[in-house]
Amino acid sequence: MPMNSERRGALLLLASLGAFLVLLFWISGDPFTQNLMERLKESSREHLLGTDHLGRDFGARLARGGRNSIFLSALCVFASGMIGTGLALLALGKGKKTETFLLFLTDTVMAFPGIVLALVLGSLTGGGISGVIIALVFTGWPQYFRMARSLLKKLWETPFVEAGRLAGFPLPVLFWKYVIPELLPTLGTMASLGWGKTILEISSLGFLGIGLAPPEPELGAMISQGLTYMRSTPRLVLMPGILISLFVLALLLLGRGGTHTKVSKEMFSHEDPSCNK
Amino acid sequence: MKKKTFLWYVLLFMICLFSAPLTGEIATACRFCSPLAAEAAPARPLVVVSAWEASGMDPTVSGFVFTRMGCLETLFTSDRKGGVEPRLATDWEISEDGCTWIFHLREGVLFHDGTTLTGEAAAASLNRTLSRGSLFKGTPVRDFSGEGLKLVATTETPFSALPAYLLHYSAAISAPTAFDDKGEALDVVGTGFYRMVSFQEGRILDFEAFKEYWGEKASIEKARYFAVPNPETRALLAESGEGDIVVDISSENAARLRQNPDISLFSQSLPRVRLLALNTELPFFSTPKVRHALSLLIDRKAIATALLKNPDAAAGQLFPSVASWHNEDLKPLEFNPSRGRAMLREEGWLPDDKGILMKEGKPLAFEILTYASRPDLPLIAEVLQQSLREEGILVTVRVEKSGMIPECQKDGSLETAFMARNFGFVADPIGTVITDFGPEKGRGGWGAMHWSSSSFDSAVGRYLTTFDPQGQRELQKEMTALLQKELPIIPVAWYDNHVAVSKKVRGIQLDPSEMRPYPEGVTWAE
Amino acid sequence: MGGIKRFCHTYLFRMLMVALGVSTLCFLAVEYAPGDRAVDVALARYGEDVSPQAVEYIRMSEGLQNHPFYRYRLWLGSLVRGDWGRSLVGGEKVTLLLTTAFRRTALLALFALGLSLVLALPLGIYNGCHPGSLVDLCSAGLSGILCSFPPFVTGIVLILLLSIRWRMLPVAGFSSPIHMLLPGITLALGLAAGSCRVTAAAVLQARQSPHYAFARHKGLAGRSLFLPHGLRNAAPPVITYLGLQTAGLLDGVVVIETLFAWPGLGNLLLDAVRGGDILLVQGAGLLLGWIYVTVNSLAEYFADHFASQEKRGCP
Repeated sequence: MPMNSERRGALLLLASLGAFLVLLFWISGDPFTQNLMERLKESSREHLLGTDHLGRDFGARLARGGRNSIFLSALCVFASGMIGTGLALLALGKGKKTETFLLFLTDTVMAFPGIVLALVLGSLTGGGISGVIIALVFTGWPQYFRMARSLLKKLWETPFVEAGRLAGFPLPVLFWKYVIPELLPTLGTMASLGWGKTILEISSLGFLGIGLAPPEPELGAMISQGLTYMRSTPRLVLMPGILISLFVLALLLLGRGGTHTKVSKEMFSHEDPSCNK
Repeated sequence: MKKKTFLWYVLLFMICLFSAPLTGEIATACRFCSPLAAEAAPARPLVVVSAWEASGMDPTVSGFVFTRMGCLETLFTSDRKGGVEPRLATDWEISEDGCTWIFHLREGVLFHDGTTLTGEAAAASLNRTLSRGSLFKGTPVRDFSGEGLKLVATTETPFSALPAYLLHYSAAISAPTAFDDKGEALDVVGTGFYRMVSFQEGRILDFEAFKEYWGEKASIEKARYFAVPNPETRALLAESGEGDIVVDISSENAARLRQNPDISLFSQSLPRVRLLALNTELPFFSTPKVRHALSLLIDRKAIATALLKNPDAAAGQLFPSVASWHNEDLKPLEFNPSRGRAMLREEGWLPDDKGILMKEGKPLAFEILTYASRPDLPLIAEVLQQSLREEGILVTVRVEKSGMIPECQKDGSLETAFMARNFGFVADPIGTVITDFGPEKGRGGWGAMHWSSSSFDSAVGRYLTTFDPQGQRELQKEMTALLQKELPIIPVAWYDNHVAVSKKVRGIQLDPSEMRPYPEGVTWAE
Repeated sequence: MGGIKRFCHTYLFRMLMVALGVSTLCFLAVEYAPGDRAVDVALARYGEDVSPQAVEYIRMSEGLQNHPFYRYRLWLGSLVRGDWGRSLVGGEKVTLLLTTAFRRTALLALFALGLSLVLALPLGIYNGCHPGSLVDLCSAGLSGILCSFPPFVTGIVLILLLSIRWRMLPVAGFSSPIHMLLPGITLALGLAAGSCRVTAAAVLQARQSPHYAFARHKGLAGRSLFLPHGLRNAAPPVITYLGLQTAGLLDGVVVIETLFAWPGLGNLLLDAVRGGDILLVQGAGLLLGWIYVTVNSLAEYFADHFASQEKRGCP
């Protein structure tokens, strides 16, 4: 991933957000201890960011919620990437029939928007976080599959891979030396963009009430719970919202950095970046 | 054909495809050209905003929308004090064996289509509810028949609560022309002071005053029912003045709207209770003593004050003070953690080095199953979880859809459930009491789990055959005292209904059981 | 011509396969979700006070005790005959519910798209012509931020400002066109953030391309230079991006509809899933599958078309 000022800025933002969260973890109390008499209090020495509607330390809730959102979305993206790439390798290796089947599967899955599928699948697991992860991974892998497949296809034909094959190098070696370096930049960019998108999706689902069970905090769920108190205590809604937005912004910048002056084919995930159709 | 031309044709086709149905939509939308609040007062409808939409026109499913708007009427209605008042029927007689009832209908009542209310029409309507609806299933009601101004109801066994059941919206009387020959609902044709003009998929319903109404006619010519599921949006509609009568306001918003100079906020208790149902087969809930100990650990006053903004909502017993079954003789359930701890200790639950209560090597741990369609339930469940955790009881909360509760009860996996139970769905709580605490084979999955009491069952049986109010009152006291002593379910807090009424509207009288129409007696304040 | 025929064949085949696949998925999800379908339907129909006997009655009368595959087969059969069934909750015809909900969502979506174009196109074209200017940098920054805001947060902020603070717009409802403004604006802002940047980038790229330089070399200037050579070349990626945006619109629409009580497809699906209304969920799955395949296929076709044009190297 080439470095430029956008990307440097994004990394700085990410680092500072990370540091902020770690700091919150250190100085804040327990995100679960309630105190109904101390609810909705402004910031004090004891609670640096005040308390939420059940009297819990808001800073601690933010830190833990941020951590949950980040890790969960990272998990989803990682799983989608692995599955997508793995299936792309399968498609390439196993012949025409598997490939057609996988392409059909991709089309079917891509026809469904993530949130709607998460809703439907969420009812399968009773609205818990496992349903959300399954749904997001399920709708997430096709884009990695397509990208990996087109990249691999192009790669397979190149002279040095051909040479390596003819020379009898075992597949894992070929993989390590040639395939991975080629896939990593593009997939890495996709993953960065996807990470941001997944954070948004998880928080939207949390807003609709599907996701982590209480009392585990999640930024989107915190926002929907804080709506009731929006007028008196707007920080309950604004702070998680800003936190989500900053993270997503940083990740978007990281992924897209420097390409805003060029209509990059990466903007269209359907597109084959190597222009070979 | 060149590729480009083809693409343009496709684009044109798509535009036509989308715009054809849309022009219809836009035309409808353009009929209301200015925002409601700006319309001149005489032409302006009275807007009632509620959380529930009408799923179809079938009165057994969405009848509550029509009864609350004064479009459909029942034979009897609530007298606002937990009792029964005549509406379409004036009085009744019961036969010797208690299994035949004769209801006398009011004379000169017209349906919205001009036909007269007769015994036959009423019987047809009620028989439809009997076969298709949920109301009478599980009750001994057998049949309805009618002639002239008499409606006859027969039951298999004596059923003293029948008049109370006839208050339910399912039992509203519709004209025969409202249904087709298969019994599907075609239209809403009732006897009420508002006549339905448009249905619009059940989210926005328009009504017009019925000129031939038998009673006091509506003073506001037009009315509108607006279903808004989101509680915040409802509160905003009250504030902006778009909603004249906004019901189901949350406690938090109610506190804020009370300060609003353009709104009168009415709060009244409902016969609905938030309670924790316990699986008495589990070792920790097997004795009344442990259940009482658990109850002593719950700070109801704090929950009611902080979250519900009403300290009186703390439930001292199962039935709230507005319910007819409220028993003043009972000592209220209290918050006494030290006594609770002592009782648990006596039962063998001792804290280990981490503070978790243990008995014979097993921790005191259970799961609370609750649902999110009433958002206050998961909130209070979280509070319960944390406060019990501080006492060394490991509680997990699981939020699912409400249908999971009877399902998990059936397969035995339910440990505890935190839910809202409505004891006022018919005017006499006996209906819910039977399905929750009565004989086990008649239970619905929402009540006591694996708890039964022969004395309770016999009290229930005697209640159904007792037709005099004094005898009923004594049996009510007996049953409520037993429930308070045994605590198969732990009541936590009662419900309040907050209704925001615009100051532009005058004359509103609210009914705690929500059976009487909201626009009843309402006029513009000029 | 062969290309068009091929497109039609693939499109039709895809549509059939995807629609069936998607609705089967919905069917499986609703059927094998934990819980009892009859209880869900009973609760949705009669509320919390439903009696257990009524639950059994519903189970019998709606055939819910039959094996799921048997019911699926029945549904497929009636589907072919054009009968999509009736909602288990309210009894209305599924097709009626879906068409009205779809129309409403389409209305909102198209309004939002239109508004986003009105906002984004002029700004994007300006930015493309004056790259690096203050306006360009500001709008790039603003669009980045807007893209990262979850749709419900934007909606809430707009409600706070426009409805409460300044009392300009009504909050929720459906009875007059003015109710469409707030949800439309919320969606449009997110869409415009993306389209603005793509437009700017496309216009810039077109202006920097050799064709443009050649045309300027030829002596063309001003509007006769910009319109045929600049805008026309910038159009393809923008159109493709719009297609993708339309396809992805439903995600945001579900949340927005919940927030603003807009009775569209998103709300319908939410209620249907929560109520265990199997036939409605299946019908909605079919409809959604059709919409997505159509929009996606068209967008891909456009992308292919213009990519091949680019390869051939001429506008």
